Amino acid sequence: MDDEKLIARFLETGDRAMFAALVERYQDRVFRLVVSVLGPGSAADAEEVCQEVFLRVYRKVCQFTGEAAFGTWLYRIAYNLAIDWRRRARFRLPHVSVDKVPGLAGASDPLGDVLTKEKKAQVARALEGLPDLYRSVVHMHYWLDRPVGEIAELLNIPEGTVKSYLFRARSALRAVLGRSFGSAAGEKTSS
Amino acid sequence: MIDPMDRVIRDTLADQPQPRLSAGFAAGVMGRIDRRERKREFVRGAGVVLGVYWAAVLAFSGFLLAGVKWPAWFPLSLVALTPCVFLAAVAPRRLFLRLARALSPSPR
Repeated sequence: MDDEKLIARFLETGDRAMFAALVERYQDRVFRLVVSVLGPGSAADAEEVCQEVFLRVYRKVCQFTGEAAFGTWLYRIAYNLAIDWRRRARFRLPHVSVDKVPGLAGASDPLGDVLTKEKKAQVARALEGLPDLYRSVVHMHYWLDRPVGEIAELLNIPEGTVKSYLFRARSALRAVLGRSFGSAAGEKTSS
Repeated sequence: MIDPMDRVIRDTLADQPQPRLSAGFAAGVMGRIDRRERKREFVRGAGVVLGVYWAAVLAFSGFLLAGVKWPAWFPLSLVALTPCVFLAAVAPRRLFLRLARALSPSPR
């Protein structure tokens, strides 16, 4: 059964199993979208935001007009809620240094590890400084390994725009990191 | 052409664990929805009962202030209604739920 029919049946009968089917259908994509906005180390927060997203959708589903696809409407709500959450969290949560993020800790070669760790910390800081939309696209593409098509669908933008955002994000990072990374990241090389 | 920044970003984010949605997520959402709906129905039911009670109290006061002779059944009904309201306040919420459902056929 497609989304519109499920929603129509749900509004007609009030059968919550219909809504549960919608939740199960969209939960993974909504979660990926939210986690891409909130960034690494925020899975628990992302789950909380996802619950809020579906609660809001449950309350407002009667306002869904069907002009856009249900998914588009849902992803817009999820993206806006995630952005709000991130902005509030900036004031609510204590700052955690990037150096203390467990995934960034090094291991065997001390000097190499320190350099690698420092570089990764710089990249992570630069990523945090990107505009919301660019950062979200970068997280979805490089961290969550989502194809460009899916990112385009989640953000309701053409695939070409996703590629353009990735290019601009890399350029912005290169501009910030270029000096410290020297030629490795400062210019393009052929493979 | 490969942008070296591509590898730099990928290497940085490769250390981060892949986030996973917990298994009972959908059930958790539906549980929260159920709780919220029950609360709404409870408030609606309690509102109806209290509304009826206060309407009766106001009408009774109106009769008193206007000095109009009220019908004989009126004080009796108020006296009868008062314990009902206090009983309802301590009664299981199912009473309110049934009342709310009876009064509002809409599922939402």
